[in-house]
Amino acid sequence: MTKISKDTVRNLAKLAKLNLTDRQIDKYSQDLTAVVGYMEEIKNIDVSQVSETSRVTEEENIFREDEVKPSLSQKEALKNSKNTHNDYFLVPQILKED
Amino acid sequence: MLINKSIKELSSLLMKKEINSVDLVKESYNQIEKIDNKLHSFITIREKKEVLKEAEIKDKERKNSSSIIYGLPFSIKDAYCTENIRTTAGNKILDDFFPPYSAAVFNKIIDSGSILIGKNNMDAWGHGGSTENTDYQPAHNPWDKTRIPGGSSGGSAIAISTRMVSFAIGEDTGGSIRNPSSMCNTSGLKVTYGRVSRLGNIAYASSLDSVGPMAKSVEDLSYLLEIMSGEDHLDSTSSRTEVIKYSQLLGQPIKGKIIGLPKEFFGKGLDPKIKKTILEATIIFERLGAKIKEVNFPHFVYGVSIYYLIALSETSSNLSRYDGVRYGGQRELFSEETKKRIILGTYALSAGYADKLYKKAQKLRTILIEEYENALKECDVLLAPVTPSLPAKIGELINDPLKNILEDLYTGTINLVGAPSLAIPAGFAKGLPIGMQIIGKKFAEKELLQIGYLYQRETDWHKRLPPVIET
Repeated sequence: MTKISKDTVRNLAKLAKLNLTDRQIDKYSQDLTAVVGYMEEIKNIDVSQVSETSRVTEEENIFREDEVKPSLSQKEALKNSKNTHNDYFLVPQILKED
Repeated sequence: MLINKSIKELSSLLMKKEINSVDLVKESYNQIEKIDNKLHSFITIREKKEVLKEAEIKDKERKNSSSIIYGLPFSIKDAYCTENIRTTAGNKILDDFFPPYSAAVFNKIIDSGSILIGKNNMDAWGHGGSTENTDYQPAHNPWDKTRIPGGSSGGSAIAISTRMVSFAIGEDTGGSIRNPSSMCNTSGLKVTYGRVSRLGNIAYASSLDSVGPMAKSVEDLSYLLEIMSGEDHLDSTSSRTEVIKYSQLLGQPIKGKIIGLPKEFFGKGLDPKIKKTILEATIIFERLGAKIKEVNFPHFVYGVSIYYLIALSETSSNLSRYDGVRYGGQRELFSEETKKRIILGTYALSAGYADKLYKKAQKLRTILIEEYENALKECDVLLAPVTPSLPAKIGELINDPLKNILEDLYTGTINLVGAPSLAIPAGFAKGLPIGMQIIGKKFAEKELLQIGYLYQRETDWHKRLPPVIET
């Protein structure tokens, strides 16, 4: 049975931008090992002749005219942000100075 | 108690001016003030004074041509954006989020004249079947306060079963309308994927999420569905299939209809009391002239795995937008259950596992759809349990990760297929409600409502009120 190790949880948390405590890493490793262990029941089913389904709607290629229509104002779009500057969203710095 | 009356009865009394919307709104708030501190069905309740004022205006402006839901008090799951009314999806990340626009379904109900009372409690982001995984207070079942009300639309089902509102709008990704409807003795419809616009619904898993009505009866659901349904240019997955006047087609005989009992839905894991209740319902359907036939779903046993692999992969992607930059708080505020679901979804999508898990689940989804279509070639609808067990004690599921996901055994596969399913009360055991679901072909809401309506004409389960109500 696949074990979701603490290192795996730590790596996944990094990918998903979640800061986890050691206690959480330990607990998630146990809980996810149980759940993934259950899900491994699908491992041996042969699906080589089957195609994937990613959506169940029968609609496709919905086109519309490319017209300008009323939308949210800048004020409305910015109103829930805690950090704005000159009518822009202010994002955390990601590039460091040398 | 006025709100115990059907939408049709209330509308008729309002038109004749025998009652008014102010009375209804007062009754809503009385009920909430009396019992909601024990049940926690709401996250946000609107200011009473403001709502009463709105009701007065509705009373003044009522016309003969007003919609059947004009002036009726309702609530909506907190998963829907409501302009300038706080919308949390049950999570502290959105604790101070005031959407700049409203969900399409909300606008349709408001444009028809209904009066919003508040936003219902839910498992955060729809992640759960118990309304315990909420960052607000866990909700309690009105039939037994030591037990869960089901979820994730638990708050909406409580508000209907205790007559705090006339109806509610829920959301169903893997059972979230049907499960609490079953546990709280209310009626709920998971619509065909695309039947109702998802615009403004805070996404859990986009290929599964379905907007739907929750109410006291099938008749009420049919009125709501014809108002909610239809194409939306802002949701490209919404369907252009014609919207039918469902309410006008109720009462037609179901003689000769074939109701399929999927064998695998009645196997290991199902509480015998629930099985017995549903088999008793088949006797009523036979009396109404329907035929019962056993059908098979060989891959059904893998349903929960397939459902979770797809739902959690999609949710890990959907919830990546909560970065705290444009709106909302930091990702640390995700609850334990949600963090676990994001981690698991990230795992199923990550290099080395995507083919074995996510893509394999998508292929198995194709097999489930085929099996389902084959079963519905032999019969008109399927009849099945909603949940494998009676409402659990509070704390029981949230502490058992595997038991928690198995609650979705009978409901999740229907979302994978995209088909409609109607959950209605079918009986009681130990004083706790038991629901059943009637599942149909895509866009066969009409048939489901017709069958459910005739069943409710023959039975009175759906009329029973929880002990928490003083009548």
